[in-house]
Parts: sequence; structure tokens; C-alpha cells
Amino acid sequence: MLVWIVVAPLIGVLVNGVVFASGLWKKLLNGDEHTEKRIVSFVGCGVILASAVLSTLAFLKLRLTDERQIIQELFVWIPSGELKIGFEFLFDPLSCVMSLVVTWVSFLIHVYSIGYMHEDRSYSRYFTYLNMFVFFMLLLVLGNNFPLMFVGWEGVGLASYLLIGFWYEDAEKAYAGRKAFIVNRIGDFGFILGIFLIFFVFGSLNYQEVFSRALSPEFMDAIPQAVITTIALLLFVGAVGKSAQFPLYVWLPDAMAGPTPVSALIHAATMVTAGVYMIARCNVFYSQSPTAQMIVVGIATFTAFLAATIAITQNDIKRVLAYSTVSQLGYMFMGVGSGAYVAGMFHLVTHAFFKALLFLGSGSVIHALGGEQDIRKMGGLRRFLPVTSITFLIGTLAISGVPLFSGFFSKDEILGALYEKGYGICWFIALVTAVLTAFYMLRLYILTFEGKPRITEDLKHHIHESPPSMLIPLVILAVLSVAGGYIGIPEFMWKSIGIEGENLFERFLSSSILSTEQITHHALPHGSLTHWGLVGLSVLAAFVGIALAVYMYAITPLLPERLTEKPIVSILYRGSYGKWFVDEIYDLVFVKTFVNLSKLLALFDLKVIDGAVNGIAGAIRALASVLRTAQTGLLRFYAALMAIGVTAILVYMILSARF
Amino acid sequence: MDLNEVLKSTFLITPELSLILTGMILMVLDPFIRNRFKKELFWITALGLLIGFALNLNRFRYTESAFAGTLSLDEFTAYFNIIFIIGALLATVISRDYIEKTALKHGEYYALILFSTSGMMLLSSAREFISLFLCFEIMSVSVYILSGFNRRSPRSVESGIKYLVLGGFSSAILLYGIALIYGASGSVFLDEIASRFNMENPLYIAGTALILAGFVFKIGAFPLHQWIPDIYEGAPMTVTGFMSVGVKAAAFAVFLRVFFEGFSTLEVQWMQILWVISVFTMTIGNLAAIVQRSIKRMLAYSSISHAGYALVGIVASYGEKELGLSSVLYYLFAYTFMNLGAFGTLAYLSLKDRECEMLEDISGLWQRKPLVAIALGIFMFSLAGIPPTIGFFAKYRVFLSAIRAEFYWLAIIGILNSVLSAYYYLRVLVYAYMREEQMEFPAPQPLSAFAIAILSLGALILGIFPLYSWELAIKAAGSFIP
Repeated sequence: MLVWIVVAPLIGVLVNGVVFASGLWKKLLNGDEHTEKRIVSFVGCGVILASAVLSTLAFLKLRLTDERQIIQELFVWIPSGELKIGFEFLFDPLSCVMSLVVTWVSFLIHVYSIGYMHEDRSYSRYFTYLNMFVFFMLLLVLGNNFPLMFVGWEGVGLASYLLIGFWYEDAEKAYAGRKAFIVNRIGDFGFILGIFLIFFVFGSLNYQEVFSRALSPEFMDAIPQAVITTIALLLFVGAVGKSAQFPLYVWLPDAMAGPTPVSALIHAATMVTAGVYMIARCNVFYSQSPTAQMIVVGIATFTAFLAATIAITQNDIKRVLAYSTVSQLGYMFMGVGSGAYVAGMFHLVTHAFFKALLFLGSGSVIHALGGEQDIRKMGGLRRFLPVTSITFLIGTLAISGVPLFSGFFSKDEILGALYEKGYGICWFIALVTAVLTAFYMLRLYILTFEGKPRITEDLKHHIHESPPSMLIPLVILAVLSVAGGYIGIPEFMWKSIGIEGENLFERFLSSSILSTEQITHHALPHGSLTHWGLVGLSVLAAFVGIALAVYMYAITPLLPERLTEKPIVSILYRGSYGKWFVDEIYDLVFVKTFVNLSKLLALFDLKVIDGAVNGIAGAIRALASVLRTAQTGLLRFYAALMAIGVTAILVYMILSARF
Repeated sequence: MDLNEVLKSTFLITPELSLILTGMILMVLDPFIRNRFKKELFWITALGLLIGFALNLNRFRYTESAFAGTLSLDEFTAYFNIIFIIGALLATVISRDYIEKTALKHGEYYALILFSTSGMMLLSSAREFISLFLCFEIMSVSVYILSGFNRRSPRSVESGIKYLVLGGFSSAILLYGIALIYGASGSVFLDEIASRFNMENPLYIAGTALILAGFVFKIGAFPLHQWIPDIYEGAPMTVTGFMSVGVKAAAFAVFLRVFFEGFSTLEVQWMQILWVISVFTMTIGNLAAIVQRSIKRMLAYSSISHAGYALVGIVASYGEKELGLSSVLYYLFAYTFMNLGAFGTLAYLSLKDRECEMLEDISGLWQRKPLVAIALGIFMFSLAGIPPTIGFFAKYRVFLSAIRAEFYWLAIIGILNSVLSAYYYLRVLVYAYMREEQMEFPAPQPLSAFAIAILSLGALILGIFPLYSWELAIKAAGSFIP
């Protein structure tokens, strides 16, 4: 059954790719475009729905099995000496959560895409790529060894590249695709080195074998701590690339060049969270290396804060969301980095819901405004786009951490874990980031949907709410953004209202977290009072952010402009608006240096290597022309040459036999 | 030899007989059939070849000797017969359309192909010099006629006559060698010659050298390779394809049998010569191919260099008997697909009055006939030895066996040559894919297209999954190693 979860999207790729995107349908079968779009949508969404339903069935089956995992072996994929890599799938609670999120969110976004991409010329190519993405993502999630994860990892990278540069006629968009691809290469390099090191140390790449060895004290006694730390950090380098953490986050904001549903699916809900999944999967390594944990949490905190400071001044609706994604990914890494794997995964799930919702909402706005993305040219859209604005508000409140919305529960878990594990400074920065998050999200909402419309009169007449195929996914995601948090209500909250409940999400996931230190619930010595104290602080943070945004943008709309005229604020503003000039610095330090070095090497290649090659080629040509003269075409001449040849063989043979 | 044994022996050579009988039937039918139906004689030919093929498969089950030990029917024979029949069958399929286009005569053509093929088949089983020589001539004489088959073309006639004269010359040398060996040993049977072989008697040495020279001529290796370009270029395209794979493989088959079975006492000496011959054959073939502007002539030179690669396998068998020999056998099998494919594609593209042979003749192929261009690409990649084609695997095995046998220099020279060859093979593709001049191409010919599709798919699929056919080669080599 597991294999069909993965294969279903592949069928979509083959049908949509071979029959439609290749032009076979149009050119050879003379099919019309209308039918093509209908079949493509049906196949594209159908296979994902099949995959989602199968994942759900597998989930139900998993709950019935005792050993808490289903493994399906297909065949031995790479047999080579002592290395034996099977093509096999693992369905345990961790991959179950991932595959449920991936398939269902993908399904909603596929449906949304039907409306969003309807006018596009390359409709079938789009669905082919999108199905391909889901295929590789599921391979990544369900593979039962590191090489399979790596194949999926690279595959989603490819799909991401193809979809960012989907409108490749636009040079800037094609460039964004290349940037994402190249930056990810740096991370992947670390990841694959990590895999090599795992094989070198543990002699296997299969999850069960590697992790059981890593858990056995006899085995681990022979291995220095530094080796485990190196493995953990190399894997983290991969995660930093794929999940857009500092210093490799620069590709994600540019990745918004792709169609908006792609941003929602790949660059918010699923692919970028692969790094979080990977660390949760490899929790055994991280729990054994405090150094690696510290570095992960440190980088995650810094990333979350940095991205939030950039997000507060951006004017492109998708760019704000992109930086917000980077920042939220930082939260997830804080969770998995501090050993609170369940909390990190929980935030991954809720984030998938509300960030997909926000992106799709922004897509709906962009769709309605005919491609406009600048929030300074929006405003007052609530009247025109009622459904979009309400769902967007729900997403905003969820990400801000307003109580009873999903983001509140998951973010609170992470903050609690940080505090508890003694990452005091990180906890404080994360709290400040929460204020910033609430601030920039509310700013985004207010500037887009509230106040006076700043759109042109012409546009006002054309503006319209999106079709149902786009609104229904929005509504479903909005419901999930609220209700998604209730699967993970912590124990102390149940107790406070007098119910003997427990954290369902944690109980379900616990069998996947193999490491011994499983501190995921708030086992603070001070009792539930401290719990509520922490919760109170994070709620306060959310409301401070919201209040600030409402004050600055709704009540006194002229205040921000006046503020930026003050010297210190002005410098900060420009820095934030310029994204702290990280791109420019990279360009100067890495890109320029590299290009110059390449030019130097090119010179060497042209003069020395090509010179040598051309020289040899010239010599061979000359020799060949000489040989050619022997071919006169005269029969007598050939017979004479043959006679000489025969004589030569005869003489050689006699000489060598005699002496 | 009593009647029983004659009957039994006759029964054992039914695959060969089915070809010979079909050839005779064709000769008899030919005068009675009206001209416009003559092309349908092809179907009888194909049927005869298919029956021969099916009967031949049976031979993988037994090893028998027939006609008082003159023929040995074993897996080695069966393996080579598969090569010959596949080559002949696909060459005939392509020939049918080619003959129709160029207005040649059908009847004799098919009969000659069948006779020549039956000669090759018997040759691969001969263990005695008299029948060996006879089979050699059956094969050769038919091919001489085929080379000059296009009587309207002076080049073709010239090719036929040149082949006849030079071939006769080489047969004389071969026969002279046989005579010397017979004079010294008093026997024409290989096993008896082997047991009486005496290093001290110069007649043996001279005889071996002359027989070697005779075979080197047929293989088309240095220093007796000069005939190849002219004759391959002049002969009709399909005939060139047929003889470049069939005659060459047959010459290799008989070479292996005679030298490993009869002259193994002198192995060190002839191996040394073969080392030199293979190096020169590869290099000269490649160097000359580089400057050709005619694809047909380029392929002629390339067939010289491929003989050189196959010889590397023979030399390697000095240290690695099984691996070396099976790599030679496999190389010839692979070569059948890619070379016949290349010539077949050119035949497919030839017009009535213009053979498709110059590089310019295939410009714009990709735009006009993409599927043919893809097939041509597979053949060229395979000839150049680029994975995942069969040519890569064959070359890999040959060079691997050379390295295992510690002939490092031979392997290095071979690989360098292989690199060199990529230049002229890929140049064909540059013309086919990147030049846009719109040449005139013939109308589709379904049967030929089918044959070319089989050859190209074979070259590709057997390259991706080579192990089954490779095991066949190992089996064949195993049955032959004394």
C-alpha cells in the first residue's frame, strides 16, 4: 500500500507529462485545449487525492499495529559489496504526520491551482511539475534509508527549481530559479557528506540499523563525541540550505517568482520543512550532541529574528510572507534543536496550514488585482474580497499566536521548551520575534484589506472575488488553521480546566522519537503556575504586536512615515528595507570573487589546455593525411603492399620462433 | 563412414542445410516468376533464415562432431551462427527495399546471401583444413559477386573485381600455408596437427605465419587491410553492411578455432604478432577515418579499427583465457548490431540514383526524419563506445580483459583510440542534427524501418541489460576452450 502513496503522483507525472506537456496531445492527436485542461486537472488532482486517501488509510492501519511502524520492501536497489540499499518505505508516526500533511495540503493547493492557473499557456506543464514535486516529497518522507531521502531531497529541489522558473521567459524569474538551485547545492553538499560519514561510522544507511546502533551504548563507546557532532552538523548544513536558515536563506524570498500556489505548497508548507523532518528523524544524533544542539538553536534563533526584522518593512505581499516563512522555520528548528522534537513537528503541521492559507489568500488577492503585489497599492479590499479577507485574518491571527488559534499552541510549546532547556537568551529573542511577527502580519493584513482603497478606479470595476475552486481550499485551510492546534493541547492545560486529557499529538509521535531524553512536555519543577506564566508572556507578546500594528497603521496611518524621518529609525528602516544588504554582501564576497577566479581559470583553459588539445588534433590530422596517400586505388599497388605485409608476418614469425 | 553416420551428420547440419536448400529453391523459382513479383522472394529467404535460426538454437544443448570429425557442432558454432543469421536476416530485410529502390535484381541476390551465410556457418564449425578452405571459398565467392552486384555502377563492378583478385591472392596464401602444414604433419585435422606440432621444423612456423596472413586479410587487419576502404565503398550499401559484420565475424571464428586448437604450441609467438597487429590496426583505422568526408568510407576505416579492438580481446586471452575469448565473441555480437545498423540506416536513406554516403547527404535529417536520426544516433554512440549502448559494454569487456591479463599498454592504446574515434562518429551526428540544409530523403520503407528499429533497440537495450547476452558469450567461449 505504501508504494502506491508514492507511485500515484508519479502516474500523474507520466500521464500529464507524456501525453499533454510534451505536446503529443495537441500535435499528434489534434486534441483541443479545453479538453486538455479538463483531463489534466482531473488527473493532476485525482492522483494526489488518491495518495491522500491512501495515506489516511495507512494512518488508520498504523494505529492498529502494535510495533508502531509499517515497512514495505520492494527490492534491493544498490547492492555493492557490504553496502546494500533497499528500495523500501517506512511508515511510522513521524512519516505518517508528514505524508498526511503533504498529501492533503497538496490536494487543496492542486484544486486551488485549477482556478489560479486557468489562463496559463503551460497549464499541463505546471501540473506535471506539481505532481512531480509531490512524488519526490513523498519519496523523501517515506524512504527508509538515507539515500532514498537524498533522492527525494534532490528531486524536490529539482521540482522547486522548475517551478520557481516556471515563467522562464522572464529573465529575472529564471535567475531566481537558478539562485535557489545553486544555494541549495551548498546545503546538499553538506548533507551528502553527512550521509557518507554515517555510512563510514555505522556501516549502514538503513534507518533502523543506524539508529539502533547509535542507541546501543557498546557501539557508541567506541565513537568519539566529535564524530556524532560532525554528523549532526553536516546534516544540519543540508537542512540550512533546504529549509532556508541563515546564512543560506537568501534563495527563499526570491523563490516567490514562481506561481503563488507553488509558493504556498513548496516554499511554505512542505518542501522547506524537509530539514525539520530530517532532524526529527535523526533525533538520535542530535540528542547525543549538546554542541550540535546549541548551534542549531543559535542559528535558528538568529534566523527567526533576522527574518522578522526584514519582514516588518517589506511592501511586496508575497515577500512579507516569504520572510515570515524563514522566521517560522527558525521556530521549528528552535524546537527540534532544543530536543523538543514533537514541538518542532507540531509547529511544522500548524504552520503548514496557516502559511498555506496565507499564501493562497495572497494569491487570491493577486489574482483579483491582475498581478499586483505591492501592498501600498491595495487597501480596503475587504469589501471586494470578503471570503479572502476573513480567511486571511484567521491565518494572521493563527501565526501571531492569538489564543485558541493553532499557532498559539505550537509556538507556545517551542517557547516553553526553550525556557525549560535553559536557552534563556534564545527564549527571550524568540519572544521578541513573536512581537515582531504579530506586528508585521497585522500590518500586512491592515494595509491590504482595511482602510481606504488605494487601487485605481479602473481596477475597482474589474475586481472580483475568486472562483469557488480557489475559495473552498481557503475555507478548509482556515478551519484547519484554527482546529489544527487542538490535536496538541498540552497536558497542563487540560488539567487546569479539570479534564484528564493528554497531548494527543505527542502521544502519537512519541514512538518515532528514539532518543532517550524525551523532554517535550513542560516538566517544570515550579508546577503549572510557571506554565501559565510562560503562556501569559507569549500571549502578551502577540497582543503587544497586534496593538502596535493597529495603532500605527489603522488608527494613525501617517505615523509610520513620520517615524522614518527620525535619524535612528531611518537608519534601521533602510537597513531592514534593504534586507540588511545580505544579498549585496554575498554578491561582493562570493559571486564576484568566484567569477574572477573562473575567468582566470578560463584563461588557463583556453591557452594551455586547449592549445595542447588543438596541437594534438593538428598532429593527428597531419598524420592521417600522410596515411591517406597510401590509398591509391590501384590494384597492383595493393597487391604489392599485401605481399610486403605477408612477408613481414612471415619474417617476424620465423625470427621470433627461432630466437 | 557408413550410411548411418552420414545420415546422422546430415541431420546435425540441418540449420546450414535449410539455408542452402532455400537458396536453391530461390534459384529454381527465379526464372519462373514475373519481374514485379520477384521482390516477394524475400519472404522465402526470410523464412529459410528463420528456420535456420530456430534449428540452430538447439545446438546450445549438445556438442557433436559430424562427418568424421571435420565439423564440430558446439555452443561456439551456435553462438556464431546466431550472429551470422541475425546479420543476414536484417541485411536482407533492408536489402528488399534497397534493391527495389535501386532497381537491382532480386532473385540471385537473396540466393547469394544465403549461400554466403551457409559458408560462414559451416566455417565456424570446421575443424579440418580441406572443408575449412571450401567453406571459406563458398562464403568469399558469393560475397565477391555481391560486391559487384550493381552492374550499372562502375564503382561496384570495380569493387567486385578488386575483391576477387585480392581475395584470390589471400586464398592462395592461406592455401600455401595449409599445404606447408600438411606437408610437415601429414594431416589436415586440427587436433592431429596440434599433437604433431614441432617447434624445430620450420615448415610449421612458415605455415602458421601464412595461415595467419590469410586470416588477417579476411579480418581486415593491418598490414593486409588496404582492400577494405575501396571495396566497402564500392559495393552496394546493404552488401557492405552484410559483409562487414558477417565475413569479419566468420573470419574471427575460424581464426580462433584454428589457432587455439591447432597452433597453441606456438601461442607465444603469434600472440606477440597479434599485439603489434592490433595496435596498428586500431590506430591506422582510426587515423584514416578522421579525414574522410564520406560516411561510407569512414565506416570502412572504422571497421578496420573495430577489428583491432576485437584483436585486443584475443591477445588478452593469453592471460585471461575465458574472459578474453568471451569478450571477443561478445564484441563481434555487439558489432553486428551497431555496424549493420549504421550501414542499414545509410541504405534506408539512399535514393535511386544517389547513395547516401557523404556527410552532407544527411544534413537536416533530424528535422525531416527524427526517428531515423535517433536510430543513427544510437548506432554512432554505440560505435564510439558511449554508454548505455551495447558498444560501450563490449569495449569495456575487451579492455577489462586486457587489464586483467596485464596488457596495460594495449588497454591504454585501445582506450586512446576509442577516444579518438568519438570525433568522427559524433561528426556524423553534428551533420544529422545541427545542419539545417534540407536534403532530399526517400519515402518511408516500413520493412527496413522495422529492421533498423530492431537493430537500434537491440543496441540500446542490450547495452542497458547486457548480462544475458554476455552469459551466452561466456558459454560459447567455455565450450571452445580446450
